[in-house]
Amino acid sequence: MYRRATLLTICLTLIALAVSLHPGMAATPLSLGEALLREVDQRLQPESYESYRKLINIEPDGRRKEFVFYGAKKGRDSVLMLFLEPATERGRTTLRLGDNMWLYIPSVGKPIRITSLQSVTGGVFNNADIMSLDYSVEYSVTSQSKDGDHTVLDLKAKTKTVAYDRLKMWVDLTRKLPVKIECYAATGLLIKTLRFSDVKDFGDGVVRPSVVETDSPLQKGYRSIMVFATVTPRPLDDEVFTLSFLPKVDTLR
Amino acid sequence: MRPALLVLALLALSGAALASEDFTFDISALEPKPWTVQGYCELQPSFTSPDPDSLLRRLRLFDKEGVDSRTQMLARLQLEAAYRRGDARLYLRTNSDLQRELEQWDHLTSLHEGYVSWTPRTGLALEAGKKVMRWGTGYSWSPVAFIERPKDPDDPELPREGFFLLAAERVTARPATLQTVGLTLVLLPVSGDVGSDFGDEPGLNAAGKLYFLYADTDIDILALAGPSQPTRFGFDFARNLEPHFEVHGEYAYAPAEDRSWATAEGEVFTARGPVHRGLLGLRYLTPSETTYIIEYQHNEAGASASEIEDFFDFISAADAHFHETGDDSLLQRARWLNQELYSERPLGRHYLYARVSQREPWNTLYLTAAATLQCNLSDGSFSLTPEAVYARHDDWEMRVRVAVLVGADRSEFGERPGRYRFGLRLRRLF
Repeated sequence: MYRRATLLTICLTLIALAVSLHPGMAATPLSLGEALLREVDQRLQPESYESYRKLINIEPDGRRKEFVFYGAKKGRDSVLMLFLEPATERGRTTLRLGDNMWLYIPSVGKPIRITSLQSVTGGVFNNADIMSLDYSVEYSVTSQSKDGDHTVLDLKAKTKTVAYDRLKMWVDLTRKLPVKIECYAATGLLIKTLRFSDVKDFGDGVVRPSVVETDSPLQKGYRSIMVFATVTPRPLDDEVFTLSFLPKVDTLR
Repeated sequence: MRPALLVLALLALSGAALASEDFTFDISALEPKPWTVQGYCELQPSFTSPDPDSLLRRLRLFDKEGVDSRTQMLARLQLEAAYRRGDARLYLRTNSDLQRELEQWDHLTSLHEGYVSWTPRTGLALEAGKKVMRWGTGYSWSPVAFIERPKDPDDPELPREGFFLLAAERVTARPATLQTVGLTLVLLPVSGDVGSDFGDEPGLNAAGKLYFLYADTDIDILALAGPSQPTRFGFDFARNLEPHFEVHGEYAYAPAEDRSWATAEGEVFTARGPVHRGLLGLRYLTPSETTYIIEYQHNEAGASASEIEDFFDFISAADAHFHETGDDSLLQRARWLNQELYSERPLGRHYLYARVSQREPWNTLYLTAAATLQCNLSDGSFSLTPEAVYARHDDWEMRVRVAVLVGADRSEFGERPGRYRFGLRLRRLF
């Protein structure tokens, strides 16, 4: 009995030593990074909430097209979005459950599967940007560093199904909010940059940037801006995030 | 002010304007109202290049000599109104068409949908009235859409009319491998004028759909039974194998369904037996946002290549008889057969449907370019339809398309009345 206990102790000590010496498992700095990323997630998106947003696409010649939509999110990976304006898009609804995404067009009358890589509005934002999940659901922190007043988190996609392979996130440590995110493809190509500004108190303890602007070296001269008018915590049933509810999302408002 | 100073002042002003870009917006205008009215109106002029050798063209025009069959015009008004009070909702959708074809104006207004729904709680809904129930995962065709009017493969997204029904739906969801379960039960009465377009035999028809979202896969199990339509069972599925690669399919089985066909002499035969229908499709998105939709359609109740050939032989003989004797009775019969037996789509048994669409080609925002191929694999004839849709302005949408029809004599697309058809659609939404 005594021998068994000694052997077990030696084994556990060796495992603990191996874990602490392994470079990829240096727990201390990364756990801080993960904790910071989760805090950023919590401040950006409450557990269950609804919001009104406007998306503005600006072309190189200054012409604009605006989209207004109502959105709702529950948990870490259930998101939906209903277009209210313009008339050409009115009633279109998208649902995201983790990696699954559907688009409901009233004239088609049934949901069709789409992907997070597409853009339902055109412009620089894609579906993954507009219907974003918590960053810590899709990305792991690989390293962190300092850049002036900001902490920079390097994030790596957990699976190949995520829209961007790598993110570089500049975080304002005082507010625990992102100020800039660079999105990279697996090849290292910079796909787009998201800039967060105009931090606003939305009430119920929600304080977050109200403007997210993006541009892309792949679409030179084009900009897209997402403006949050409201972000309101609200309990929502799981049944809201189902295909059969897509034609009825307007009843939530 | 000197010009240089004026330019500097303007530049300074524009700089200030950019620096102070204000993106806030007022949502009070978006407050939900009990009443909503919306819809669209559109104009669709089109031009068909006639095929003088087409048998269907001769069938259509034998008693309309000298009539212009090349230009058509359609003006459409679609109105939607909804009223919401508590958990109840009233919804109406009407469609009005004013059409000019073969130098004649026709007008038709119909109620496409008109129903009341009651949602006492999320996941439970009761609906009664005229409603479109869209079942199936296919894009071009849905063999499991048992209680829906068939899609127009040339324009699958066209609005369609519903049927009178009573429906109950219960959905439960939870974060698990079996994420969603939904059950829809539908009763469709056919009596007198009510539901007469669903089937000839009066009585109460029942349909049901059981839906699962299981392991990221959409699965439906469906059934229809009743006196007005043949009993049918089926299932469908859809799943993303990769974020950019989706597969879907449908299968429907009717144990005893009547199938009719005409001989080269114009005689009609009917046989009853089991009928299988199926569809297998994929949707693939490239990094440059090109979407490919490819579907294979199998329709056992459709006409075989030899049956289509026999029918065209009959039209040809009827046309020859008309020119020899002036007697149009055979052509009138052929017109009736065309309407009764060969107007439903898909007409044949095996089809390939392929659509390629590109969002924002040449970096042009709000432009979508696409091309659609429908090929009858039994006779090799096909239609190819390139199109472009532009929606730059908030409430306007413009579509331009050209349909090119190619096929041998006595083939489905080869005998269509036109060689190509150019169409413009200008839609104003409100």
